[in-house]
Amino acid sequence: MPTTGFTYLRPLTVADLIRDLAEPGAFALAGGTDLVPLRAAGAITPAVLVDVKHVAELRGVETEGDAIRIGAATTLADLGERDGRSLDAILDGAKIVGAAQTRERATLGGNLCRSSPAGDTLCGLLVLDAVAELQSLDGIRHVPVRDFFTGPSRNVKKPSEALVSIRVPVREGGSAYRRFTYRRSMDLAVVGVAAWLSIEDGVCVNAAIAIGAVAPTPRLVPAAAETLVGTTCDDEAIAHACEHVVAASSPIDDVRGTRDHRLRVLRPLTRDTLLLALTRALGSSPP
Amino acid sequence: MSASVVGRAVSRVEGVAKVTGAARYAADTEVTGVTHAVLVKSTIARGRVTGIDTAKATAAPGVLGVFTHQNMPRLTVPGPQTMFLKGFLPVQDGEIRYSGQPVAIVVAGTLEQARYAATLVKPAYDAETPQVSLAANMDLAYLPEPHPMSGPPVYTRGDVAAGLESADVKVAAEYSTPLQHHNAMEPTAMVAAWDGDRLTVHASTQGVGDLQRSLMAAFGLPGESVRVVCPYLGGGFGGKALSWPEPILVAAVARQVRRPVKLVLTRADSYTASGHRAETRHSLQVGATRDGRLTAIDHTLTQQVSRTDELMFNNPGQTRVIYACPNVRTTQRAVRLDLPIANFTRSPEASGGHALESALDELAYALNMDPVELRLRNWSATNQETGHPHGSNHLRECYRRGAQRFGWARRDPRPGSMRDRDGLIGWGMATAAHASGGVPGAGADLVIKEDGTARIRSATQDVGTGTYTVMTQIGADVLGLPLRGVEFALGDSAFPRSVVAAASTTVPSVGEAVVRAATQGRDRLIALAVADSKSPLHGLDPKRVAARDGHLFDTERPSRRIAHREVMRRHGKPIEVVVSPAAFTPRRFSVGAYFAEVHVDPGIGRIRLRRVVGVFDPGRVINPKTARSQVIGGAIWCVGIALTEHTLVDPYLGRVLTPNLSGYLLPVNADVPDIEVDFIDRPDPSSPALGARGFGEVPSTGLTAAIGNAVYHATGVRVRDLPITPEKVIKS
Ligand SMILES: Cc1cc2nc3c(=O)[nH]c(=O)nc-3n(C[C@H](O)[C@H](O)[C@H](O)COP(=O)(O)OP(=O)(O)OC[C@H]3O[C@@H](n4cnc5c(N)ncnc54)[C@H](O)[C@@H]3O)c2cc1C
Repeated sequence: MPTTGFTYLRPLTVADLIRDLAEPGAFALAGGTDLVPLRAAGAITPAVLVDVKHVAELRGVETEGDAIRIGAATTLADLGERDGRSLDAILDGAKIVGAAQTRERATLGGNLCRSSPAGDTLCGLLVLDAVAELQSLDGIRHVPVRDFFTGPSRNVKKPSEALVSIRVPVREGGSAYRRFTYRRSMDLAVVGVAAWLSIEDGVCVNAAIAIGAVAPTPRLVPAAAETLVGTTCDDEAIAHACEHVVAASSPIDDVRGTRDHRLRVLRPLTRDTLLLALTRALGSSPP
Repeated sequence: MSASVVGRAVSRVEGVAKVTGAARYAADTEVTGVTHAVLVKSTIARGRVTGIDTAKATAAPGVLGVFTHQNMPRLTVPGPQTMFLKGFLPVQDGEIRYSGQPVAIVVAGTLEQARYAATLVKPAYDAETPQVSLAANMDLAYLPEPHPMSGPPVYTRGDVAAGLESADVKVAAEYSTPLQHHNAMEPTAMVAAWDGDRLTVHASTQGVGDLQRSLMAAFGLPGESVRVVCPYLGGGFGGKALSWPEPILVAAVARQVRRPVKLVLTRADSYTASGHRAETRHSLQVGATRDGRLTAIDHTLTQQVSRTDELMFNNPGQTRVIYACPNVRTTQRAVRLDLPIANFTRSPEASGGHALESALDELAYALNMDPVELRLRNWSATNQETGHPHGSNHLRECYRRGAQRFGWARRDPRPGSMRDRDGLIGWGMATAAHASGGVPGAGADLVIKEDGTARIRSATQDVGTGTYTVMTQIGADVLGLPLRGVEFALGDSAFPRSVVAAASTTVPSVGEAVVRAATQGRDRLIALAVADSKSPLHGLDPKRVAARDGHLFDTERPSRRIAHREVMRRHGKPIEVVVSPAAFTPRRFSVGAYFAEVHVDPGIGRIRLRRVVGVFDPGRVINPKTARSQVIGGAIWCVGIALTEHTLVDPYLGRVLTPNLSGYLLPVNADVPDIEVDFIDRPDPSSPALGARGFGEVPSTGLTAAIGNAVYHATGVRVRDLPITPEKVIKS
């Protein structure tokens, strides 16, 4: 329950943004779709809210050299309108967060900074090897998303750091994200899986698989990906990969689902996701 | 000449007010000087308050009062005749009966101040271990005393043991349904204001009259001193059908602080403040002859009651009434748990019907008989409980038409036999049925104004079902006025008394009163016209005169006519009619048939509802549009109950773990396919409301079983415990 007021700041430049975030008790405010409910529930008590949405560097998607740069405050609705194969696994997630109203406000940076184990863009960021650009008065650092999460809703970002952008390397291959929910929409992932496959002459030359909502953080499963490399991603190879995925997961029972069912769903969901990524990698349109 | 407005798909007459925001809901009420209340709720489920530290809260900015059982004025607990069924008023003693029970009320100048101060109230408790699990306490089940609202604890006709003995085929199965909540869009809100000894309460309630009487009882006030107003409701579904303590508590503190007080419950509050559907266990035994005639049904229903009441709202009425079966027993048992009182939730008969209709599907498989055929063979023209004929009953036609629209003839009955590219397809069906009427009638008053238009009033409610619209249509039809010539007003306890808007009784009770009032008004208008020497109808036998399109006319020479407006202008003063409530409305059953198609992903057990066809017999359909909306809404509730809805309660602390729309999974639009709706639309000759029967709850029965039966058909897995989650489909 909010018990105190707060100051609202609206910086227009990155320089002002990181100065404002250095204030004690400052929180970045993006779409607010996580922050506002968390504050209302008394989970956080920000003294200063620093609105990140009006800083130009934090908006928009551009190609920069061999990477795609996504401004941290780009909304999921804006992202969802893109069609560029190279971001598929992230876009699959961005398109199913909440409802249309949620996506008009929610940002990619917010999803990453919230670091929920069930965050729908996070497995995609992992398999596409995204890198977070963090800035504070102490300088700039680039943290690969694979090193970003430290626990449920925890990450390496310091409170005074702004997430400015997320860079995704442009690579060959196809990627996908799928989740299991009880409702068809407006629900949080009970299990999520993302995959990226690079295929040359019908053979997998590189791969990544990540799982969500079945471990304390979204996480890559390198062992699963390795079993696919050098195969045609045939049923047997996929079955092997699924075993590694299950072995790497440690789901819990909660109000959304049971550990047992999460484990049961993980295999077929991984398989479906891999098949979708494979179809995309092979260039045919998805089913 | 235009046809009657009755039977026409008229849009809601209050629709524009609702979509433009002109409609004022309880929380929108503006009262000068209003202050705000926030409840402090118990965090234990059983025990007592040993002390409450209110010092900090009292000293907090803007606080006008902090009320606990120690300083709250003593109030009389209203009796059940006011629909106050809780049996006690919170904040009157230190006893805790469930988690979330209000233990203090904070009143402050602004909502923010009240919310903040409420966090500073520190109760101390002596906590005992609560019992909240029905499964763990089934051995405590007992037969409560009979109560009219519960139905008979034990009902028997014929000889059930002999009936089962003589059966060629028997099915015995246990079904269960979890705790569920109403989840109306609008959480309950209220504003209480005193003017001397006169109290006005704006509240979200399905029964302004009952709530008024509960306030009269609590404060010992006469009827003319208490007024309850509620012109609009953001849904109720039974959650606002009882008289609850909050309006009484808010009125009490308003008197103490000498200011109007407003309380808007939070979404989380609505999981403990407005009742719920009690968790149930059903044990069913059904026997039949080889040719599918029922020989016996034995249905035992066990459900949770609270520590302070023993009303059982999940009622196996359908088992007693619908099917031709000589030997039937229903038994209703209760288990006391440390939970709030239950009440009717959407259709209270949904859980009993779910069990029966699921068991009949199992019986159809055991008999190797089509489930539609099984139901056709056991159709009954009489209400099997009373032995009296139904007013009318076109259930067979519902089955046939529904089966045809659905394409049921193409069904391969073998489980798992129908598939598509990525999964299993299942088709299931079930009967929908609900009592309607059987409650005291309603009163109404009517004024035909000098401009020839009319206003009709009754202290009923529009829960969203379309009461405003259909009463306007009925009034216009009888008076012979166009729709816009009639205004129907409701939601004010100062209007003629009506019953609570619940139990599918509004059309039979209020509709009957509107017909009576309008008939009297029209006859008085005709009497004026035939008596008036300057009227073209002068001297005619009144029986020859009818009313239509705003005119009275000679039925034998329709060109001889006079406008209502003209008759009234010459009369020079309004016609006023008051009709008092009929003693009773006939108890009837409205019925229908649901057909459903599901798709099941066998890998992850994901169930998608693909198609629903529902065909219903509500007697005459006053308004196909609002009736269809009622079916869509009822079907959506069934989708939730069948597949996702479940209130989780912490087994140790007794707290609701899912007190929000993120944790309590109501279906979203994407979960609900188009609902194909059809009506038989033939008047019930026994209906006093132009051939219409009550219909509100019928569509929220039956589809749960149709879905479960479809899941069985798809997978061969019979999930007897709702909701039918992917988990249960795969595990079995
Ligand atoms: C109705 C509803 C449905 C939802 N459904 C889903 C769903 O299906 N899947 C899902 O994954 N999530 C869902 N969410 C959660 C939420 O919408 C997402 O996590 C969203 O991406 C958060 O973005 P935001 O811009 O709103 O973040 P905010 O709420 O503004 O911020 C979230 C956190 O990140 C920090 N932050 C944000 N931007 C920056 C920045 N640039 N630099 C530093 N820190 C920053 C904030 O300080 C805060 O701690 C839902 C939320 C709602 C309300």
